[in-house]
Amino acid sequence: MFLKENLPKYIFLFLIIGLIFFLNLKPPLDPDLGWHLRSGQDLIQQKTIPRLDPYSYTMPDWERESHEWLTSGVIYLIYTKWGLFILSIIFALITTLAFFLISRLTKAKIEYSLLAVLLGSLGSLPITGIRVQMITLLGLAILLFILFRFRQDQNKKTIYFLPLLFFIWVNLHGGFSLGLFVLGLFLFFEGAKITFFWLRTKYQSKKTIPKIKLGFLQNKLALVINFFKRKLPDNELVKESLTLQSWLKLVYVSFFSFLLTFINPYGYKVYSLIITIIRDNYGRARIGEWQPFSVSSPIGWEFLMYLALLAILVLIYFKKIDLTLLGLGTVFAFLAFSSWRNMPVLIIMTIPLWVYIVKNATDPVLPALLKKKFVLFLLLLAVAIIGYQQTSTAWAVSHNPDLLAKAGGYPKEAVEYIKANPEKFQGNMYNEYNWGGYLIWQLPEHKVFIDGRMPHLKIGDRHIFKDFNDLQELRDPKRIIEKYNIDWLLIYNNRLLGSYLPSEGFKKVYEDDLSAIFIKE
Amino acid sequence: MSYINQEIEIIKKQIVSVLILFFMFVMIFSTVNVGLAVNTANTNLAQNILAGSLDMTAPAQLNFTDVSLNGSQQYSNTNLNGVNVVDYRGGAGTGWNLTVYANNLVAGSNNINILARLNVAPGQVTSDKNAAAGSNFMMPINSATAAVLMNASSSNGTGVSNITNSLFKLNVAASDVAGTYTAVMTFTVSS
Repeated sequence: MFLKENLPKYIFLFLIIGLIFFLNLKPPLDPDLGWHLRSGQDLIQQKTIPRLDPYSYTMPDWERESHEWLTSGVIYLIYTKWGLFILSIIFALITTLAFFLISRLTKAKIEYSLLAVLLGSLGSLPITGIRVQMITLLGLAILLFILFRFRQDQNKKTIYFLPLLFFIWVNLHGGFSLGLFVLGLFLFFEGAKITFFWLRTKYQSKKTIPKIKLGFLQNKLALVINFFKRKLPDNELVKESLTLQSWLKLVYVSFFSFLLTFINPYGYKVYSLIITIIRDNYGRARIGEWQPFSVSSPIGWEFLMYLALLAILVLIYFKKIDLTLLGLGTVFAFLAFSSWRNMPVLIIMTIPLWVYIVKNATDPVLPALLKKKFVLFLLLLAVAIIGYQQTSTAWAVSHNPDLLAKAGGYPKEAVEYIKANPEKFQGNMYNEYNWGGYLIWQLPEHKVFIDGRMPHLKIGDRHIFKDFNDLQELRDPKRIIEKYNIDWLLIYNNRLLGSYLPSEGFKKVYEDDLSAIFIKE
Repeated sequence: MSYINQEIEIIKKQIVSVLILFFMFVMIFSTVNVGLAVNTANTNLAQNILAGSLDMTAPAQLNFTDVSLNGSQQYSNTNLNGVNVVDYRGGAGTGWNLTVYANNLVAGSNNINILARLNVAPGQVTSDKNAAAGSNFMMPINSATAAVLMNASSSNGTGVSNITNSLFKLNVAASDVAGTYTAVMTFTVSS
């Protein structure tokens, strides 16, 4: 009887969990996957972490701060034991777990949590996949889960897991710095609430504003005090907050967490690459995922729809939303519009908002509606179509190197030609930026000119990404060829550079539908 | 709360619930076939920017000298003059490329493959600031492989640059079919 009554609910849960998982299941096509695999292989086989870059000839003196050294090792182990498809599944599970964990910040029925997770997975489709950034998503979810649970029950000891979290995180991905930033924001907004309560207590009993001479600021001060006295006393914006004692405890734990981030193979230098990225306007202006949000992107409108719907609901339920959640959401909305890279982080931040708003706006109507036959049918249809689409793509790409190269746009045939004619390819190679990771993995006998780790690097007069683009765009190309002593080039076959190279004494020795190879005569 | 208010509240919740479900399913079914979009995340952006004050002019018509078929291979020549690039964007200049491509010469159902038969020697450049002619090339047939007729590297090419006496040399085979062949040639100046 119990099972019969709850059967539609269980069917809904089964279908929606399946759908979320399939949406997060992506084929292994990330351009950085190649160098992660090679880096992991070297770590496992040589059992050392190289201090200088072993994969490029342009930056051999780069004191490499590989934030992902441990992740690369684990990725390589999974790849060698079970293959790329299992790697896709594991990253889909990491992403799903991150979204699910964050959805449980808000106390609500499981249907609301999963609905928010589904929306989050849909909104972050362009960025998710086998990407180490997913580890940072999970790190952020765990961080926020611990922080909000601590706020709900300030006697909880789980807060002491934060240093451990940051210790692990710093060795898995550079996004730990984002975690520190979120921790800082949490302290700031909770500190603002404490200040608010203090001001309210101070002025609530007073009938007039303080008699102090503040000139034109007098009226402003009156407005602020009236705000504290009348507008917000029972507002849910600040209903739940840390006590001053708990806030101070969190400050100490945060500081200790920060100190533990220095326990990694690179010590304090883990922060140097982060500073380099922040300061590198050139690289950020030219890398796709650092670009500002654009609706002209093929799936940009999905993200916009996600945000538009959320914004409408936030405006309607503004006064009932927790200030800290709202503040985190606002800061990361700004960052996500500034660059695509921050979009999943915004989604992580907004999932609890979804749960809270949707619960308040629809309970108990929506859970009942979700169990209707037409909803279950549509979900079943979606699971069948998207499940087939995602699984078949990930499976096929994982098991067929030709398909992987084709879907990823990698020069597999050109690489085979180079391997078959080793005598022709001596000296320094110039390669496409997008192919660097693939070449590190598939063509280990040749060091690359550039790859996905290097766009922000600048050592002396070597600003490698700018030099790469200068040659590509024929800005004083002779200078770049001579600067790096380039002997041969593997480039897209439709590059303007290809028309120029014969004038510098390079001969085209290979061409296919994707790539061309030029060798200095 | 009165019964009517309760009813209104329920109706409001029903409307919001239906809206959420509607948006959710629209988003779900719009994901079909976009899963592979993930590999675009690190794409290096192309940089063919046509700036407002970077402009060019080219003659509307270019005619080859007539050729009478005589049973052996011949060449038909013509000179291109009056192609100008104007870069008034100020500063030291960011450089530019003047590129060209054309479609095959066509006369009815007959055509001449210009990629194999039309050789171009770019000619002489007169420039306010160091623009240069490109190398000789066979005429490309699409924009992706467009050839450089004239270019200016970074910090060069500001003001007026023009190229004259570009020699277009067409190989006319003995087996070509007589007719009036035409093609469209496209010039692009980009920075």
